[in-house]
Amino acid sequence: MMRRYARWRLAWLILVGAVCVAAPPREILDRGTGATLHVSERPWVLALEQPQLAAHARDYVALYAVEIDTSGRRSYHLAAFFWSTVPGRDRYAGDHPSLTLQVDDRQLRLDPLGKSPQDAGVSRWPLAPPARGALLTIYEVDTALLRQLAGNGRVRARPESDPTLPPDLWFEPWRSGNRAFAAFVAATVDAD
Amino acid sequence: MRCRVLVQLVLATGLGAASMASPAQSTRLLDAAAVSDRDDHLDLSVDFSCSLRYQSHTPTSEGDELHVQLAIGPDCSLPPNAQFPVDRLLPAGTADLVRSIELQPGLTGGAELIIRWNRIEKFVLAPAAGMRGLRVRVQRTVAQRVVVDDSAQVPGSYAVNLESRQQPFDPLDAPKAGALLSAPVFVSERVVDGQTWYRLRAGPFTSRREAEQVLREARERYPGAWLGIDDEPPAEPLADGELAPVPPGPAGTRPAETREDAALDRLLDEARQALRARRFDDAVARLTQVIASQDYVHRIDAAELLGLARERKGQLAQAKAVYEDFLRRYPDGPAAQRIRQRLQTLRMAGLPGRRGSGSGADRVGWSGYGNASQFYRRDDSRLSSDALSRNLTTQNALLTDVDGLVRHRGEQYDFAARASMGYAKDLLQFGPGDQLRVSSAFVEVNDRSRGLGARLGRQSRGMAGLNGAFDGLLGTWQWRQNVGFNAAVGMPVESTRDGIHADRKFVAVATDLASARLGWDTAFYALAQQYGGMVDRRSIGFESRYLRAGRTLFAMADYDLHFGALNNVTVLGTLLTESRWAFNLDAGRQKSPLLSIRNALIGQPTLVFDDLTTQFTPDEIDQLARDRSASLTQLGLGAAHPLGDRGQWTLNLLSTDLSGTPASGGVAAVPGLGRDSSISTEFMINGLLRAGDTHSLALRYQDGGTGRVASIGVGSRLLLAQSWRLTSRLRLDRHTQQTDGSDEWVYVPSLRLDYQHGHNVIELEAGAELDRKALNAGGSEDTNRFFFSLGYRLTLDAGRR
Repeated sequence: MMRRYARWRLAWLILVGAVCVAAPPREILDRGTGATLHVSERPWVLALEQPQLAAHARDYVALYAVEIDTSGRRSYHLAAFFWSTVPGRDRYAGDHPSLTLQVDDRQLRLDPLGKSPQDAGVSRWPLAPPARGALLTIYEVDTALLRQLAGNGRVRARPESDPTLPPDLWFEPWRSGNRAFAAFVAATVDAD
Repeated sequence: MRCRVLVQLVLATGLGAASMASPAQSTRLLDAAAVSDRDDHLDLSVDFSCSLRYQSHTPTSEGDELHVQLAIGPDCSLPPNAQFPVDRLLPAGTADLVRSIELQPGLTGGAELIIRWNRIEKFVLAPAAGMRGLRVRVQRTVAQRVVVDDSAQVPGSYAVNLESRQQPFDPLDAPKAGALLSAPVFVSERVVDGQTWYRLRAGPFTSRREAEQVLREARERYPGAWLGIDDEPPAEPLADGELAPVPPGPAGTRPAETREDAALDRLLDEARQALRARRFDDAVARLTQVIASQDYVHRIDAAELLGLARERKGQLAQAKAVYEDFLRRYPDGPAAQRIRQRLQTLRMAGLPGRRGSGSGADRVGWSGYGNASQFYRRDDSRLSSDALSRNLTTQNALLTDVDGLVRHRGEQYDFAARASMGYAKDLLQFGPGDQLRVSSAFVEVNDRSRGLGARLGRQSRGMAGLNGAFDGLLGTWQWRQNVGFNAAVGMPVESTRDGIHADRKFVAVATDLASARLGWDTAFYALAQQYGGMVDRRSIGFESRYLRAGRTLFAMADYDLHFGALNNVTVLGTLLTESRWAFNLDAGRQKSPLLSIRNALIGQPTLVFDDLTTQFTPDEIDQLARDRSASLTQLGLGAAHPLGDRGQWTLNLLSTDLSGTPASGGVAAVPGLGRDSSISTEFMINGLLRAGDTHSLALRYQDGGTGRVASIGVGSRLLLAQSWRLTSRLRLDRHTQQTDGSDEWVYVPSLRLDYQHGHNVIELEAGAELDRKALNAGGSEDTNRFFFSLGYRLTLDAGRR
C-alpha cells in the first residue's frame, strides 16, 4: 500500500517537474558549415487582436533565441516568425520587418540582419514555421536582451514596418517563452 | 463677426426649436451621445431616454467594439425581454473616435449597447447614476516623462545601463559602481506606461567604443547590462521663440546614404503624388518603406516628407518624433532649419490646456462633420384568445435625425458649435403625434494656452456629478497638467423632447485630480439643485478611475446632504490575467429613482408640484420624496476566455434586489420585488462558414420575484459580399409564473440586411415576437408582434482624415 502510494507520489512529482522545468535548447550541428547552433526549445509568442478586420483573429510574432557558434566565435540572434490569422494579412509587416521590442524599461529597435544564412555561417535556418505562410526574419541581439527575455519582466513588441499599426498599440504576450529562454541562457551564455 | 452670427444661429435654432417641441410618448431608447476630450483621455457619454441598468460588458478594457448588457427599466414602457428595432445614435463630432453606437435587443433579453470604435481602444466604463446613461473613458497615451537626476546624460550619446529597477537605488550604489568601473555613474528615471523605472547608468560616453569597453567590464558584476544609444527622450518644450535644439546622433553608426535604387525612387514619387492628392495613409505607408533603407541616397527627402505627411494627417506626436529623428541624423542638412521651425510650431501646439468638444483631432483651420438619417418604422400587434381578437398598429412613423458639428482650431483659440436633432413624423391616425427632439445645441470656446473653456447651450454631461443633459453654461479651467476645475449652472433636461424648464435649476462645481504615474484620476464635486423654490438635491460625491494594463477600477459615490442619505455607491472592476482570463466585478447600491424632491409627485393625483405645497408641509414633502425612492442593490460577476484562435466564451452571474416603498401621503405601499438572480453564458466564434462571419449562442436562466425565465438565443452575422451584411437572430424564452406556475413561451426571430458604402449605410430590418401564454381557466392567449424598419444613414465630412 505504502509502496503504491510512493509510486503515485513519484509519478506526480515527475509530472509536475516536467511541467515546471523547461526543456533545454536544441543543439544542431550544421554539417555544411561546421557551425553549432543552439535554438530555444519554445518561443515567445506575442499577438495583437485585429477585431476590426475579423473577430478573434490576430497578428502574431514568435521569437526564438539562437546562438551560432562558428569555431568558437559566438553570435546571438532572435529568429522571428510573423504570421496572421486574418485572411489576406500574410505579410502584414512587409517583407523585411523592423521590430521594436520593449522589455521592462528597455526599448530596442531591431532591423533585419540582412544576411543570407551562408553569410551568417549556416547552411539554412533550422527553424520550422509555427503556421503556414509565416515569414522568418533574423535579428542580431546582445546577451543582455536574451537575459531580460529569460526573466519575469514585461515584454511587448511592435512591427514598425506595419503601416496600419496605430502608434500606441503593442503586441502583448500570447505565450511566454521566459522559461525556454532561461534554459537557453543557462546552456549558452552562462555556460562558459 | 462670422462667429457671432453663427453662435446666434445655433442658439436660436437649437433652443428655439426645443421650446416648441411637444411632449409625446417615447419611441427611442438612445437619447444623445457626446465626447469631451482632455489631454490624455476622451470621455464618451451616452444618454438613455429611460432607465437601462448596467449588467455587464465585454471586452473588459480593450478592443475595437464594446458590448454592454443592460436590463430594461420599468420607465421604458417595455417588457424586460422586449424585441425592438435597432436604435442608433449618430456620432458626428465623435467621428475620430466612434464609428457607430447601436442599441439592440440582447440575445437572451434585455438590451445590448454596441459601441464600435474606429480603432482598438483602451477604456474604462462607468454607468451614470440614475441608470440613464453610460460613460466610457478612452485612454490616450501620455507622452513619457523623463527626469534626469543630474543633467549628466545628453540625449544622442552612449550610456551603459547597468541595472534597472522600480525602486530607487541606494545612495551608495552609484559611487560604488563608479569606483568598480572607473567611470562616471549616475541614476536616471524613466516613466514607461505609468511605471517609474530607476536606471543605474555608466556614462555618458561620446564614442561607442568607449561605452562597449565599459560594458564588457560591467557584465561580470552586472550580467544584464546593456548599451543605451540615444534612448532618452528629448527634454520639455522650450520658451516662445526659442528654436528646439536636438542633439545630433552618432553618425558613425549608420551607413552612408549613397545607394541608388530605382524601386525606391518609384516609391518616393508615388508618395509625393499621394501627398499632393491628400491620400496621407498611402503616402505614410510608402515613405515608411523608403526610409527603412538606411543607405538610400534620397532617404533624407523621404524622411522630411514623412514628417509632413504625419503632420497633415493630424498625427502631431508622430510628426514630432519623425522631425526629431531627422534632426538627429541630419543636423546640418539643407532642410534642418525649416524642420526645426516646424518642430517648434508643433511643440507650441501641444502645450497643456488644450480642450475641445470633439475627439481631439489636431487639424488647424475650419472643419465640419455631419450625419443625417431617415428610417421608416412600423410596428403591429395582434392579440387573440378564446374571448377576443384584436389588431393594433402601435407605430407607423418616419424618423429623421440630423447632427452637425463645426469646428475651428486656431493658434490659441478653438471654437466649436454643434446641433443634434431628431424629428418623428407620426403616420398613425390616432397616434402620439409628431415629436421633435433636441439632444445638443451649443457653442464652445477654448483658450488652449490658458487652459480655459466655456460651453453654452444644451449639452450632455461634461463634468462629474451631472447626470444627463442640461441647458446652461459649463466652464472649465485646466490649472495644471494634473489639476482641473469645472463649474456648471443651468437647468436639467428631463427629456430631449422637452423645451427649457426654468422651474428646475442647479449649480455645480468639481475638481479633477489626475496622476498619470499612478494611473489614478479622481473628481470631487458638489451640486445644489432647486425645484419650485425648494431644495431638490444637495449632493457631494466623487468619481474615481484607475487604469493599468490588464486591470481597471471605477468607483463612485453620491451623498445627498439635504436628504441625509447615500444616493449611489458603485464599484466596477476588471482584471485580465496572463492566461487571458478576463474577470469583471460590478457592485452597487443606489436609490431608484435618485433622491429628488420631485419624487414626492410619484403616485400623487397631480403632476403640478405646487399642488403638493398646498396639501403638505415642506418636511412632509421631503419625507414623501424619501418614501418614493426604493433601494436597488446589485452584484455582478463575469468571466471571459478566448476559445482557440477564433472564439470566446463568457459567463455572467447577476443578483439584484429592489426594495419596496412604504405607504405615505395617500400613496399605497409597493412591495419589494425581492432577490432576482440570473446566470448567463455565451459562446462566440468567427469564420465558421466563411471569413468575416460571426456566430453566437447564448443561454440564460433567471429566477426572481415574479417567476423564472429560461432563454436560449442564437445569432449570426454574415458578410454576403464586400459591402453587404446579413444579421439573423432567434431567441426562445420560457416564462414560468410564480403565482400559478403557468408557462408562457416567446419566440423572437429577426433579420437585418445592411449595405455599407464608406460611412453611408442602407438598412432593412424585420422581426417578430410570438407569445403564447397558457391561461388559468384553460386555453391560451396569443400575442404576436411584427415590426419592420427601412432607412439610410449618410455621413458628411468636411475635415475627416
